[in-house]
Amino acid sequence: MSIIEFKGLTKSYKDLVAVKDLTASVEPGRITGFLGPNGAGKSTALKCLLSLATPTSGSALIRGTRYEELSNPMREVGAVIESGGFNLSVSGVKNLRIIAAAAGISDSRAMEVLELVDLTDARNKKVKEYSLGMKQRLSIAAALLGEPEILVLDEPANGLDPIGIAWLREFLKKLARNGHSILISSHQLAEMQNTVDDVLIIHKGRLITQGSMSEIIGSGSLEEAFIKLVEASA
Amino acid sequence: MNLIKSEFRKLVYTRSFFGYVAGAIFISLISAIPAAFSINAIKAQLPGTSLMDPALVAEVYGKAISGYLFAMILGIAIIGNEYQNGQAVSTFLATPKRIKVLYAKLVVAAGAGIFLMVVSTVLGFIGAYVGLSHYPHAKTSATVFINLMIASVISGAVIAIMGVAIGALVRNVKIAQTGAVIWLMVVERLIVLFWATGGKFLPSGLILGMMDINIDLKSTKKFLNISTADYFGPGISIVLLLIYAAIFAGIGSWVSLRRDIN
Repeated sequence: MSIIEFKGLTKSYKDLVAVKDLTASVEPGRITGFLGPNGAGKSTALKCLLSLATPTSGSALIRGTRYEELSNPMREVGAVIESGGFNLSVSGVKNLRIIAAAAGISDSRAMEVLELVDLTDARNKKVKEYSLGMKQRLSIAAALLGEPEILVLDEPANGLDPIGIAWLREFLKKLARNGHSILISSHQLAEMQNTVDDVLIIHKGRLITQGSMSEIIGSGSLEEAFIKLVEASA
Repeated sequence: MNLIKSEFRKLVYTRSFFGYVAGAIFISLISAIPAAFSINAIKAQLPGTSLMDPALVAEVYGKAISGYLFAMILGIAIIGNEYQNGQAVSTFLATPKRIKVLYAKLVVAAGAGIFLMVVSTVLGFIGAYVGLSHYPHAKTSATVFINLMIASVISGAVIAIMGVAIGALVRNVKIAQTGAVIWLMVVERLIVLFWATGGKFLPSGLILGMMDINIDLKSTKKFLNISTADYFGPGISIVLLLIYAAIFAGIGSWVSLRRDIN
């Protein structure tokens, strides 16, 4: 059974159709890349999946259930969304304690996840003093608070330097080895080729293709396949 | 309880909450301390003005409640800042049932509003006492303090809840807070002063009503009038303020449920 399913998902904002009739699925225990150019509708589709936006029609389900209907969502799904979601005037550890309290997770877990993402030393710094890479790691720490099996990551590599990207790649692979299912959106194709098992590509809100990395790229690179598919769909 | 704990942490982990309390104390003090002197100073323009009158002494003490503006600003910040700085994302990921989040915010806003108003009113009351100590003949009854405290508790909760609803409605926190300041400090005060028949239904008029001060001193210069004759009594004022709270909580819920998180 698919762990995440988009079923005819459409999301419109007045005259703009951000996602149109998206039907796709994510299999358990794999890293799935959710790819598309800027403005393709990736973030909108993920927001619908996480009940941050209401679909105009269709649905986005996690284990057959809408996110808002999960009994303890943070224990099932950990999410990183582009905008971060932290109070910049508050320290990293306090931001995590705020989120932990809302989900009924103990304060000690905040320290554990900070250690997982190598932020223990910076725990008492205000988030506004964090570098972009540190903020991304803090977002991942927040996603891991509930020890979820599924991770949904929206552009987690955005703005990271090469060391940060390498850290993220190894970190995600380690999580996948431990049985996590990961859906990761990105437009950094070279990086995705090294990280993901399966690929979902959308353009202008529509699904272009879905399959394993080897099926999609054949003997070429992900970038070549991506450009060919996007141009063919235009 | 988890959500209330989380919302409480959001409040006390930031310095701005303590800034709002300090602001309320400041407004209460600068309203209450000089009130005795200003009432004494307008004797010539307003016949009958005398600090021998217990009702006018009560009016001086009543200035101690002036900090309610900051309860409104606090309520707006509790929800508005969260949408503006993106913290709403992590809040709704932890608790996607938004109505529960809103209820927790309303509870914490009401509690914080009560705290802010009780602290500022008590300190304002002490300020008024210091000002009145220059007029040994100025006396009033103990019920003034009791009425003032009841008014501070109810207005603190209601005005903060109204702030949460306004914060949910208006996406820009600065615009919402500036609008609230202009409305409460200028528009509503002018309506209450010049059109008491309508002003008595507004929150400022109802807060005056809760204090149960009975004065009717009229001047040819209307802005000098000190008259509470047109206002509701404490019972009706409390009921109407609670209706305000219910209506605004409903508006806040409706807006929060419909809003996409960006």
